[in-house]
Amino acid sequence: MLTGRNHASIGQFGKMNVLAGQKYRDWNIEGGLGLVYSRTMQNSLEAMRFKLSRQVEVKDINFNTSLFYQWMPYSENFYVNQFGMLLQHQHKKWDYILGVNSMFIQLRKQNQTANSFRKTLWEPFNVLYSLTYKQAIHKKVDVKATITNFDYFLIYQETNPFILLGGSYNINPKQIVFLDVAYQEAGLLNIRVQSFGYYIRLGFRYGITNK
Amino acid sequence: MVFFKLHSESTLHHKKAFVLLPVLCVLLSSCIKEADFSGFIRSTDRVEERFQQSMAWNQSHSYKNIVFPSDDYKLLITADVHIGGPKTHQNLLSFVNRAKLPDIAAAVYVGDLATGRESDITLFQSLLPSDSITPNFVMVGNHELYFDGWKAFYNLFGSSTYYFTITTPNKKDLFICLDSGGGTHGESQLAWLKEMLDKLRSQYDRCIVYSHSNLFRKHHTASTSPTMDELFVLLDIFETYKVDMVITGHDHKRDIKQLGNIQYIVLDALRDDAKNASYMLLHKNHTGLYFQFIKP
Repeated sequence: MLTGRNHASIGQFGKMNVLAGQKYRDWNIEGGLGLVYSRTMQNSLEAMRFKLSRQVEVKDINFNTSLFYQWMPYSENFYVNQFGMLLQHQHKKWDYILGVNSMFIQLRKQNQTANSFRKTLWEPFNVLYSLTYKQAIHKKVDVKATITNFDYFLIYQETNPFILLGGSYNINPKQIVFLDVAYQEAGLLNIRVQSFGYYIRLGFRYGITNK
Repeated sequence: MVFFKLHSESTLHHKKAFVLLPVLCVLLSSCIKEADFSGFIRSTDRVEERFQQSMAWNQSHSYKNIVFPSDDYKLLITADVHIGGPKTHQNLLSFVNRAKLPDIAAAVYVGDLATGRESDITLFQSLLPSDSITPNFVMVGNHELYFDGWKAFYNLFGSSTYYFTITTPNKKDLFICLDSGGGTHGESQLAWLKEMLDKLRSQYDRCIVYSHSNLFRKHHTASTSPTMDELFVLLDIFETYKVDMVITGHDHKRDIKQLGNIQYIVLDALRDDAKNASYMLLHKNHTGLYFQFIKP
């Protein structure tokens, strides 16, 4: 469950995200669905996402590599397809993710006239990054601070980073509740920072097995 | 041997540093001259306040309508002139001389026109053709917000969020100018844009939107574009209201993209030290809109 507000939402928005994953040996497959209520978005389905990950070891260093695809049925005018790959490494209290993505903005058929000779606008390359510091403050409570340009269904340009502060509580080995607060800025690299928006997410993670 | 290697590497590093340090100093001094780094921490005159001031200005100064005697007219459009950055401003003078010719209905300046210092903004204004010869339409970029520049900009030019129209014997065209100097248009300005297009678009033949910050990122420079949330909202508005062209600057390098019938154009910089300096000549006639880039 997520709520927030930013310059583009023109008012408060609400979202509900559901993600499910299945592990098999070193592989992990994950699917997700995001629902949204916002004055500026006509579709209540925000996005669908699929992610395939694999744990690999290079010179005794563990990495998680993943490929993802995200479909966003934005409006009656266009929809958005995004493809990307991520490389993640965790070391002690730090979590590093680096990746790239490519975006296709595609006009819907009813908006394609005889004259509209470009139905797709392609942004070929965008760098994704995330740097997280995690700290256990109690045997059941962890906190984290992240600077990144992407989140579950959100992918920003490399020049628009945001800060995410979070905490999680382990009810038991299978059940975790977490709370994240994101603060988004606009114009950082224009050297004119100003608040763009925020969101607060309350989540629950349930593991069917203990593995 | 190891010592020698270390020693030689160290010497090499020193030599590199010796060469790089002056280059860095020159770059940094250039940046310090043109950029206001206090904006990394806090910004004065944020987008919502600027928008409210622009609206207050618009209430006391009506939107301009240019009556042009022919359906065939031209606009001159430029961005990123950066007066006060380079020592000279010959490219702007060349642009202004072209703008004074009678086939030009108006000249449009899409932000980053001066460093933001009051003296540079004033110098920029003094170089423009008189409005009685060629009407000028100016909007802010990020540089006009540096060194408290918005106040000087507002005193000299007034609003940065407005529209103007061109009326010819058989058609009327709509031109909307936006403020994206802070890397975002802001909630109120987005709502205003939608409201204006909803109210006016159907009365006009062609519609062109100007805003400083480029929407798409072909060149992956450090300059900020509006966030993806805002980009999608803008694309949706432009598509819904059948905008013909969106013209931006900021990236300093030309880019032309098309989605459906809308062209998204990033202008070259016009600053004197830009290798690729050019400005845009937009030509409207009874068959459509055409453009070309002209080297100053």
